[in-house]
Amino acid sequence: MIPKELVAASAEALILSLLSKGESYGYAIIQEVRARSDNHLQWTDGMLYPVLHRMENNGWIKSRWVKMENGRKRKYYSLKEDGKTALDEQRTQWMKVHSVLTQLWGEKYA
Amino acid sequence: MRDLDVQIGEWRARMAAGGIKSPVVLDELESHLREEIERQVRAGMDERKAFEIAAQKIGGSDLLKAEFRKIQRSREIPVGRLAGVACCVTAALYSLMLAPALVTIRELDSTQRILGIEAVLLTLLFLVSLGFSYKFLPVIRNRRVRVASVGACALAGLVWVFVFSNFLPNFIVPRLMGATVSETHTLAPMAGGYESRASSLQVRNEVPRRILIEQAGYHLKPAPMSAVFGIGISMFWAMTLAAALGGLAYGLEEAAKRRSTEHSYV
Repeated sequence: MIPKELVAASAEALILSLLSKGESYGYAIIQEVRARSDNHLQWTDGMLYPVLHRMENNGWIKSRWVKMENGRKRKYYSLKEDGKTALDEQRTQWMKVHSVLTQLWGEKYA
Repeated sequence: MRDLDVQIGEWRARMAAGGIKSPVVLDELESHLREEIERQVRAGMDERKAFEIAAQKIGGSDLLKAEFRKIQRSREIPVGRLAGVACCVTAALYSLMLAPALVTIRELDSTQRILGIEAVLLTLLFLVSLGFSYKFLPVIRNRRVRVASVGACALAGLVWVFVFSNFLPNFIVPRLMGATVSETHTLAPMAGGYESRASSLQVRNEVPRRILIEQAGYHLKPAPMSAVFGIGISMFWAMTLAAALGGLAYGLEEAAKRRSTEHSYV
């Protein structure tokens, strides 16, 4: 299991990356992250929403309520232009961390 | 199903009592809760049990409240940004309003004209830079330091705008030139008296009032026009400084807002 500090640090990058593939809603975002990480990346479900709201506040993403066929509502989030820029920045940073770690591990385990 | 609705209603009430007051947030959390229950029920779980697990997974109101409060805090203080923009826009408008004088007043020498136009252009540059300056300004992570810096810049800018657009032209300049103005007033009746004598000498139309007054033994200083022009040009530069301060206040807060990497615990 990945510690919560690391989960928190990667939350924005994960959400931005997921939303760059198309709009989505809280529950689906959590399910997809969980599935893609083989259950290693687990969020306390509710805590995703403050992150989403903060990102919306930042002007990175926007939301809209959609009424489903069964009468229930879902709040869909999608990426805005500033979000794409933020994603580019975060991608560069994560790739940097990734490249340093792989370099170091490459030396050690070569 | 009715049981579930009652349970969810109670759960919403508990969350609201715990500090999650926003109905929009509660709606979103409820939507999530129902999705999770539905998934568990589809997997064969009893509805009541599914509700308990789903509610547990969403987490308690304490943690959520703390996280949402962080966002509210960042929402609470657009004051600096608003004051910054107000300062910048007022300075630019005031500058633009006075700018035609830089061309129309013939007595201005070329240095004064160029200095004035430079100031107006620079003010407009600061106004335009509101759109991108945050990219180059530092992100002040310490909230208190940030609020203090933004507040100081915005306040200084607004005071500066007020002093130079209002206080200076309406109070300080008339005061500086007050001697000339008030002397003219107090001397007017005497000058009038002298004028009547002068008219009897048939020089009334040829001799300006000022000379008549001076002939009467009173000395009036000529209006210090170069000083007035100097003050005028300084007003343009004062507006530039105000626009810079306003722009800084806005930019610092915008930088912190847009480029903040403060993480929440998920």
